[in-house]
Amino acid sequence: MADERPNDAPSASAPVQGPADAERVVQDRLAHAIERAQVGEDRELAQEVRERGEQLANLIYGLLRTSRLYAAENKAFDSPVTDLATCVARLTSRLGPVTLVCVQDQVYVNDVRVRFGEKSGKPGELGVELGKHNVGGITFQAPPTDEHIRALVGGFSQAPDPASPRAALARFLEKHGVRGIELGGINRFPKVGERSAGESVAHDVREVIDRADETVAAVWRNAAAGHMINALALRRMVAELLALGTDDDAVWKADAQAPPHVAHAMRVNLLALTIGKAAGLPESVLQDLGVAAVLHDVGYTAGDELGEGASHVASHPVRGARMLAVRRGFHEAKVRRILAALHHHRDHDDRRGKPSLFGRILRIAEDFDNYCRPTGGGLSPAEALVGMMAGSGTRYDPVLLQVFVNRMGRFPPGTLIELEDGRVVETTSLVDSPAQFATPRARVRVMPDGQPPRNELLVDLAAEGRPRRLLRSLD
Amino acid sequence: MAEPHEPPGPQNQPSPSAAPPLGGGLRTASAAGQDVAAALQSLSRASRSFSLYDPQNEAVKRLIADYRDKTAALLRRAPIALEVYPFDINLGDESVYKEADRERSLSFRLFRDGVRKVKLEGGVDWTEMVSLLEVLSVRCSGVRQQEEDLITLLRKADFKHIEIEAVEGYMPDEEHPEASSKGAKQAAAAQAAERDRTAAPPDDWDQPLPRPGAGTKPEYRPVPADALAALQAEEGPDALADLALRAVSEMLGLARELRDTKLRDDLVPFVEEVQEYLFVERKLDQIAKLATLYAAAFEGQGGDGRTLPMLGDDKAFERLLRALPERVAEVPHSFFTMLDGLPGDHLGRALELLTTGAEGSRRAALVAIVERAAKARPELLVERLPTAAPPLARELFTILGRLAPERCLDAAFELVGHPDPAFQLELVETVGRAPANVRLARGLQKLMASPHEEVRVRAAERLAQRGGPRAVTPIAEQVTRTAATLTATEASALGRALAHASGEDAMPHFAEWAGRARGFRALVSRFAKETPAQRMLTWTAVAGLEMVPGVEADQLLADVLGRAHDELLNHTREVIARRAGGTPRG
Repeated sequence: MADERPNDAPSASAPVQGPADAERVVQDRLAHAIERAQVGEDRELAQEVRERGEQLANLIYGLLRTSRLYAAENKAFDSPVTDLATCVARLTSRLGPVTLVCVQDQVYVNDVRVRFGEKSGKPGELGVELGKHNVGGITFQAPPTDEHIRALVGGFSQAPDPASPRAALARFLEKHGVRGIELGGINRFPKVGERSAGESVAHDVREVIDRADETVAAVWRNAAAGHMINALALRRMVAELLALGTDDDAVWKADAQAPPHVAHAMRVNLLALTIGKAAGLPESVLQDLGVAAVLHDVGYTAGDELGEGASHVASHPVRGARMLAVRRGFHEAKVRRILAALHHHRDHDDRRGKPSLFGRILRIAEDFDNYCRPTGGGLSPAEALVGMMAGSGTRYDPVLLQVFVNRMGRFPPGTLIELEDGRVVETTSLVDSPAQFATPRARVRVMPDGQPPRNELLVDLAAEGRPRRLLRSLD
Repeated sequence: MAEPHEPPGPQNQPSPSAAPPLGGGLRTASAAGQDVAAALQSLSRASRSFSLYDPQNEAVKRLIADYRDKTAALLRRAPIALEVYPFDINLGDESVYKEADRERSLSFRLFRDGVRKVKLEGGVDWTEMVSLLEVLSVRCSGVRQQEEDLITLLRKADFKHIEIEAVEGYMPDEEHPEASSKGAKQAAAAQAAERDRTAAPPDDWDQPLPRPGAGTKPEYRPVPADALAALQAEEGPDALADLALRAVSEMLGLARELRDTKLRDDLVPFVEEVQEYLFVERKLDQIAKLATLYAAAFEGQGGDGRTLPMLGDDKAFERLLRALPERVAEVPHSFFTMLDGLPGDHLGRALELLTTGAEGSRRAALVAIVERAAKARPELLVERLPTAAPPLARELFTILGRLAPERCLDAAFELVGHPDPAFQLELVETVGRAPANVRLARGLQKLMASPHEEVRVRAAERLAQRGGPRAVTPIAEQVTRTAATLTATEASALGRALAHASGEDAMPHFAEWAGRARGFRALVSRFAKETPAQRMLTWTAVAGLEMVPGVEADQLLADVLGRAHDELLNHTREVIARRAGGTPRG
């Protein structure tokens, strides 16, 4: 916040004449912050989510209550069932999959809290109704038909299975041919000291990366379907990664199971954040950089609106920038990611002008990953870095490339090195000091006898092992 | 998580005077607990104030003042570790905030958004506490942002002495977790995989890759701090407006290059968002450039050039004024460039706004607008002068003097009846500079009839200065006419003005007023009671005689001294002493 304030904006620490002036300065600063936030609001979307979300919660609650009195086929359901189908259809057309979640007495629709039960003074009633079947949330992957909704109502009107009520309800839906409606478990807010963001990432990188991969995948799916891109979810994910840090090699290895485009987006994200942090960018800018990195290739999900003849690689930056620009709601991050998408394949010395900082960072991050990934250049990370050095000053910003090199070292994480003693190691560490530049820490992958080590074996190349040659793979 | 709008209502209205007990009857035991409780209560009220009041409302200011006072006590207690619960905030074992109403509750808002601990370290200061208030105010203002939530905002604030411990959203709460049905799980996975395939880029994505060069071996080379600073500045707060402009420029450029009018039209909402942002940030130069880009984008491609929406409606004039930075040495040129493109009576609106009391750079801009508009048509200014409020009238009159001195003089003669004393004083100066003729004399005489003493005095002095001996008669008539109501100050000034105009010509008047009667009149005057008018005439004469050389003046003063008493006696003694070059005797 503070570092995003323009020079002209009032500062709380500016010299002041007295308490009254100090209060006025603070008042102006807060008013300015709120005014800026208002600019960022897509009021139309906000209103729609608020109103339809509230409607969704009330319709589901009403249907569940009515199901106690009537069978699902009863005409009493005709109108509310149609209303619910319409409501979900409208929401999914804007947001993609719609998830309603009850957390204690709060109701959220796609992470947006909606009012429920406040007038009646029973805000937790919807959660109670769903909870009878051990259900805490419902996800509509696509607009349901009236029949699907009747089946859902019918399922909830059944007596809950004493052992596994939610699974039983899911089976009931399956049996009635319902697709695209998923039931979630009961949730609660974590308590003090319980699963704090920092602790969770430290304890389980895998979980964090899986969640991040799923967030990225969902954003891509939504983008491909023409739905809203949920930048908030991406920002949260990036903030969590920043809290985790990019030093842990598990972070770099953890997304092997993700679809290739998701894994690529995640690696570019991590590489970009590594460069940005090393360049001293503040947290606020790094969050924007991470989101921009995840979305840099989103233009590939767009239809071919630029006419035939334009290659994918040439046209996706424009398509991506277009997709990002037309998404409503202003934020500085939006400007940054439009430029990043537009510039991430441009050379540093492009005749149209130097690409934006994000564009230049992403150019380095993306080229590095493309050179390394098996479906791309298939080079060893160390080879990729050498190859990129030739583009310093022309293809790449020389300062940023040096920042990148200084952090990645001569043998960037993931580099396979055959040592003179016959062992093959995979580097795992970023460079923390110049002394580590050519001697990173590594994990032994193959012993001199050609077999993998029985237990995890780590080596510090500063202390042992001289590189003989680089390998591209273990094959 | 994003928030529904919290509507203002009387039940939500905070008052700094409403002291703890907080909400549910909180009782804190320790002194530290009481300080923390008071500060949290104040933070809660101040952060909600923007959803209840206009940001510039005095109530908001009072709440901020209260927050500052309470925070000062809080900061002395740092380090402080607070634990956040749905309806409570605890300091150790002590509850320091309790509010059962979820809509009003600071703790509920923090808890719901994932905050579980707030630590204020030693060294935390008012600036950081303001940043904390800023984040909470934005979150409480009812603005639903698609990009930020409380946690991301708190992390972005980059606090140095405030540590926030947060949790992600919510977590499963099942004693016996249920596995989803295998079929449903498979169906969902299959659906997701299918959608992933649809969303995936083509197999040859990003191909062909640029050929890696035969590069040199990477070496560690320190990057100079100034090179890093330059990189950081590229994305710094000052650069954002230019980045936004660049984004618009390049996207509209692409639309033009591709002859894609749909892209151009699709970009209109983005351009509108950028303009709104630039107005909020008061980036006039960039707004002007955006307006040019926007107009150019709609020229010759089926459009006929368009005005940026915020520069095209009735409020554009006021909006431009609001967009002026508070502290600028000079009104930016871009301000006038955009102003020239706005329709309407700028002079009239500027005059209206000046009347209502603009300040700082906005006032400077309004005055500049008036100057620009009135240069070609000074009569517009003249028309406004008689009805303008006094301070504005003075300012406009000064402008008129700069732009059209002749019109200013004419106007001054027409305005001599203006009621404002300060303005009349300016009129005296202006009229006093007019060519010496009958109009000058009449003008100054009119001003000598002003109800304000300082104006009458200044006008008489100016008349004496410009008119010389010819001024004696009108000034003397003024003295005679108003003698009964003259103050000693005015009488002294008029006496000196007469002597300044012409001591010789004024001498008969002084002699008459000094009461140097001869024969029977002299005898009568010794016994008759002196009227106030006669007394002030004498006073005037004594003051004037001070400046008139010669024995006759000495004699007249001696006569007065012989019969005067009280203040007149002192006045006469002082005058005589000054004439003698000494000090008066007591």
